[in-house]
Amino acid sequence: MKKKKMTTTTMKMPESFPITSLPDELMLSCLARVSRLYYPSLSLVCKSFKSLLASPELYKTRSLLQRTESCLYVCLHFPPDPYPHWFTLRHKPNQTLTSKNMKQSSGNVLVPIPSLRSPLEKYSCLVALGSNIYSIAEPIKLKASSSVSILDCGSHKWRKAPSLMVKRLRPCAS
Amino acid sequence: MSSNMIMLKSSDGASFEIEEAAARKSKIIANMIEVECVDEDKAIPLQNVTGNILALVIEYCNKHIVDDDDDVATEEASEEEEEAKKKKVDDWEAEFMNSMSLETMFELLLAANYLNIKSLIDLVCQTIANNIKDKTPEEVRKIFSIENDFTPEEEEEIRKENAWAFG
Repeated sequence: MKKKKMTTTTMKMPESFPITSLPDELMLSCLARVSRLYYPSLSLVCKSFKSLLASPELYKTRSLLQRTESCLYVCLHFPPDPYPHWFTLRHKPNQTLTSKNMKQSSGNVLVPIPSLRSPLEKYSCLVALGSNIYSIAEPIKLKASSSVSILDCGSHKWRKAPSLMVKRLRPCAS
Repeated sequence: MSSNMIMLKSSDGASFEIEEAAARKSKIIANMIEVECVDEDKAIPLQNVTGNILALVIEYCNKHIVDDDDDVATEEASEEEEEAKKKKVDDWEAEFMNSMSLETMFELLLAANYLNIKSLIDLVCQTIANNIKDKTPEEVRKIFSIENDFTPEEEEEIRKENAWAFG
């Protein structure tokens, strides 16, 4: 566990003991017990919250505490748009619920997340593993492909995975 | 269960007598007992825990050792009884956590961590988590006395990165 840095701003606090002075390990244990849906908002609290919420250790802690959560991701095609659109279910904080959108009383909404804009990924075979979604490209115009992309569901960023060893015409994964 | 008493001494010199069974809730102390590091006439010095926090730790351990004994005695308790007992413990824990300030809670967490009392670490972390969830960043900063150390530009950048969540 990396050593905790005391920033000068922390020292100035009126309370001698702000939460951010807890060791990372204990901070992680607290944050891991909060639903992931709140993480984007909590990232804005301060730098130490942000770096802990982005750390792989947080997800390890969640696994150890058996606090993993299932998240809903939806990939939709809207022809003639050649690219798929990705959405995830997220929590809408009560504070932003106005009379206009009150009907979403569950406080959850489907929101768009970055989608792959590569022609290769037009159609793909998807499989979720841990906190990643693997997108295995399907062939375009019968040209077999070995391309695989990964959506990191922690950061909602796409990255290229190592290509398959063999080009596939009809990828299938489960 | 043995009812041997052992002595604990806080960093500020306060001495506490505690049943061995309760003290064993702390893995550190349990290990000391196992390897016979504990001299019956001498208090175990706990350099990282002050007297007022150690009193809370002992209150927690005593409460939970009684519950563990109950488990043994009523092995064939009905489901309802089990539930009622669990609720009693939950209520006690809620009351226990409610009775202290956040600052005390953090110190208690550090002490539980140092003494390696897993169930107490879990309890405090869960209470802190309950205080964090469903709060705006401003509210979290206020509750926990955290200063916003982002520049407006950095804050904007995070909002942009997480645009999906703030839209």
